[in-house]
Amino acid sequence: MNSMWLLAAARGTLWRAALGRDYTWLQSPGCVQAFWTGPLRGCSSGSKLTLRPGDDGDGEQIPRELVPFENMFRQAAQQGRSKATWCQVVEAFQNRDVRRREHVEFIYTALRHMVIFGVERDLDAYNCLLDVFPQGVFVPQNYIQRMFHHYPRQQLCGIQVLEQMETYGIMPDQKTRFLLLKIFGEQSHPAYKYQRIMYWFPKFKHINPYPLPDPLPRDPVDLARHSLTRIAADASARVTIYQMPLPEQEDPGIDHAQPYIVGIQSPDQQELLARHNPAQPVLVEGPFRLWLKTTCVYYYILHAELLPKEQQEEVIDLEQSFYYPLQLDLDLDRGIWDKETFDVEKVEEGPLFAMCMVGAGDQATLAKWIVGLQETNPILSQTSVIFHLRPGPQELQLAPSAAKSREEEEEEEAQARWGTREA
Amino acid sequence: MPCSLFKGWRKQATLTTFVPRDGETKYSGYCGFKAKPRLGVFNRKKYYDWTNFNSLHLRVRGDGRPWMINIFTDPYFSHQKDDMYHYFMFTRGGPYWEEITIPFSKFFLCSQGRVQDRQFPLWLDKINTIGFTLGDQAHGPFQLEIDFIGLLMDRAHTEEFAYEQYERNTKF
Repeated sequence: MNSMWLLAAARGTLWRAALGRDYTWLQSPGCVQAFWTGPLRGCSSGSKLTLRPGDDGDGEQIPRELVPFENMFRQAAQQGRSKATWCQVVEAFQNRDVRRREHVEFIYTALRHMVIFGVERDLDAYNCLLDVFPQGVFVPQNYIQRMFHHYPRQQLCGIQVLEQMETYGIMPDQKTRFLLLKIFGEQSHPAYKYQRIMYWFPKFKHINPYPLPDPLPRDPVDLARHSLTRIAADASARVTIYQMPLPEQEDPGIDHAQPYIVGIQSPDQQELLARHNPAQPVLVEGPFRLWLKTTCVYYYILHAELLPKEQQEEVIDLEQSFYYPLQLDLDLDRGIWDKETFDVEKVEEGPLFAMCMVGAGDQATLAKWIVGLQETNPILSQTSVIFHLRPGPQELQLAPSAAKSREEEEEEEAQARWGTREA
Repeated sequence: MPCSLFKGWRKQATLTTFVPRDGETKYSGYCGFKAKPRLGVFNRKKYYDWTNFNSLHLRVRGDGRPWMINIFTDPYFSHQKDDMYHYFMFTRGGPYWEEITIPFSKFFLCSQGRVQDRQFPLWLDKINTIGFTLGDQAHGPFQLEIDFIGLLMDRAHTEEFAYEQYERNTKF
């Protein structure tokens, strides 16, 4: 990238020197490469700090813009920040000048405003943006132009558009390909970048062994079901909804809203709980974090403490099964030269009996979960349950919700500055 | 219990002040850690020799976030000083430990974070360090527990390299 700027700067000086010596062929209309007498790099538009000629002439003091074309987006945002208004601004720019003067600055500004208008994950928006480039002008005509990065600034801008697509994980389509061919030609840097995206993205699209539905379900009970089946690590685990959420307004008799309780238990966990010694207490611990893309959910676990080796007893009654032996004493171990296991002590943890996700992480709700679990695990009625709850997300209102309220504050600030965002 | 824990809070700033405005930083919001490089006498670099193995085996307990494993071979020539091999590690999350096996044939070559056009398989005889990076754009706390990192010779895995090694910048 640095070398391209150096080349561009070098070309600028060459042309200025050339004009001094009156090289008529450079000034002739046959010369495909456009040039101007000002410095090649950096700002080509001199009107950054002055009112743009297209602005209102009715005496209204429109603030001077430091970023070119920001006022166009600001005015559109007053009508609501959405894809429609963003596309309106782009079309307005396209219609105002056939030569698309200052399109590079406009595209950079539009890329920045994509996040504000909420279209950063929309492929159509990127195609519209690539349409802003004039077509055919930047295609190199011979090998010298190809060697010297024909129109490097425009190529860099094209690369930035594709880079933003890459950052948001959006796969370009055939329309993007045709646009890039028309604008930059076959052997240009944006075309190479498109080739790279089309090579690597399909390779990495399906490597996640735990794929999530896109978009994530918004219903908290559905989300809880998805996340519990994910963390259960057992296909035979059963999800049970002990309580559906009821908002406050529905039943005026209830003072507080009824939070949802979704639990999961696999047959192995059930068996472990059945063999648990009722004299030992079981613990309800939580909340633990689970991240699903950018959503954080919290789950609680029911487990017992790890007993020291002496107290761990596993009595296998051989007479329990006469059809097949429950214990075999066969010397089928591999020799030391063939052992392929890791000689590492695994982390010892107590047995885990069940997991759940609740709408409100207080002891009353979790007690309801335990009561629900008692139906399938009667031993819980005899065991004492200890609630070991850390300050969860509800209690940590000061920390994550300080961040959250800061986000809300900034969203309000953005709303005040840019107008409301339409869904 | 002998396992390592890496946790923290990945802070992401807001809509408007996402990246520090210093003119050169484009992206922010990643964190990571790596192993200390082995040094010999007089600070000579010492390398691991992993030629007897073909997979990396980890026992981890994450929180559902996707991580990236980086293997640095510290090559001899300074042109390649930013070369690193990467692959993704997806954690399931939850209270159970999970065992992740990643064959070395899947690691792809990057330089300064940019995936290279010409790909080469990882040379196992000169490994310097291994590291982990978290770069998903999710604001909030993260946690990763690693029980152990081991090497595995998976005899069922016969792939030499997962990516094509022929010239790829062909005519469009």
